[in-house]
Amino acid sequence: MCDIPPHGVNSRRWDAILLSDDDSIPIEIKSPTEEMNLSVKAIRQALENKIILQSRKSEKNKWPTCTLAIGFELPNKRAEVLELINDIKKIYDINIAIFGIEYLLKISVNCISENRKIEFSELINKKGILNG
Amino acid sequence: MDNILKQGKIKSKSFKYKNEAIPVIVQYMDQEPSKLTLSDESTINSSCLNCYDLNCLTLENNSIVMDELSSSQTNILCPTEAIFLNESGEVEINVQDCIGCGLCVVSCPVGAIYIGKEDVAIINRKNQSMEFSDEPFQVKCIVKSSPAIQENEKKLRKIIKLINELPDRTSVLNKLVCKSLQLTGLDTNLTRQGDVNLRMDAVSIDINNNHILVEIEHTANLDSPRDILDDVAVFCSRYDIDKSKASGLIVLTELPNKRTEYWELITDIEKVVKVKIATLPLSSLLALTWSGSLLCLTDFYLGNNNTSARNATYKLLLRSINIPNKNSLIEAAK
Repeated sequence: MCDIPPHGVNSRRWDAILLSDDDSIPIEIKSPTEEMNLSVKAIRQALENKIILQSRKSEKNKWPTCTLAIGFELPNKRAEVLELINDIKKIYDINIAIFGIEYLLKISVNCISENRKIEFSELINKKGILNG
Repeated sequence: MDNILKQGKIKSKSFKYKNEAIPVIVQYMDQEPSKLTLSDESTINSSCLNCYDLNCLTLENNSIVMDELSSSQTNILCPTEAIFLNESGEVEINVQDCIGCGLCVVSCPVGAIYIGKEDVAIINRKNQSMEFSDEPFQVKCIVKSSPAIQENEKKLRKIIKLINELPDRTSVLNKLVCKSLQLTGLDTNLTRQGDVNLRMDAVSIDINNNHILVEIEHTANLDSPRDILDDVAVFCSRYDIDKSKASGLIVLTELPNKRTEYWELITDIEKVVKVKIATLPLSSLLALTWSGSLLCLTDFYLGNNNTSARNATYKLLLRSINIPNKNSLIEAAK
């Protein structure tokens, strides 16, 4: 299930959240008007979403489960986004996964054409840039 | 740049006190030249000696926190480079550029510089009981019996306003904070702009060899704690430093309101990823600098249960800071 929190609730600052019975994945969404390519800003906010979720416990959340950032385009190679994701994993042991709208559309079309759903468990261990 | 070049010139004349007297006690006065008690028990208005050390111009940065930063450090004390050696070899202040931060006042060993009625630094040159000397006078040991500058809200707000009006305000604020941290006993280096491995504004190191990653901001928002999270991850990962030996310091010109998310977020960060973040108001830092006190960050780890730096400052100053209650210069307002 994907939930969109109401505006102005500080303890639920993510743009959307995937929910299972005992876990959750917060999602930071960057529109093309905010930034065309995902940047380190989105990574920082994805990290913050995970920290707030772990601290304030507004939803059930397991530590190893990733936090997501979705943008219009993948980051520029020189933007150091992947390096930052790796640094955060190494130092805070927090998994951050990112993808662009193209990947989201691709998996959506696949799901429709194959008449299947993406399981929550398929996403929890993701890390880095998803574009496969 | 002209100012920097002028600072390289050799001075022509120096002074010493008559009858071989040496300065013993300096007492700072408000908007007036300091009173200097000499070893012959006479008291004079302190004036510039054209002394050997030129502490009012430079603060030696011998403690390089990281080798990578050695080339980017400056010894120039004044954040706006308003104080310089003129062509006669005398220290001079360009009052147009002076923001009244008082770093030169604090650094003059005999209290010959004071903040005047116009809130800019003035060098007293009305020499009393002094005579020319062939050798520049070196001040060895002197007691400072009062704060070099007495802090108050008007003075502090004027400094902040003047900085904010400058085209290079970020650079000036960074230099002011860096040199103030050095003067209060914390070895601090500014980082190089554009270095992706050192994203923080400055790095300090404390007596226990803990690295303190410093963010310096005009106004607090959620970006400051986010920056610290980013700084710690990148710094510890790429320099192979244990996370427990690194912490964050956010220096702010004004503290955010109680209802902002800032306080909750720094509390969350410590709770979840164990990164401690100190919040130091510029006012506290300047008051400590002006009083010649040493900075200890222990009590500046504020959070949603304590949004005031007043008590922490009191402990270090050993007196109350002269800022009214519920003032954002020292504590979060409603």
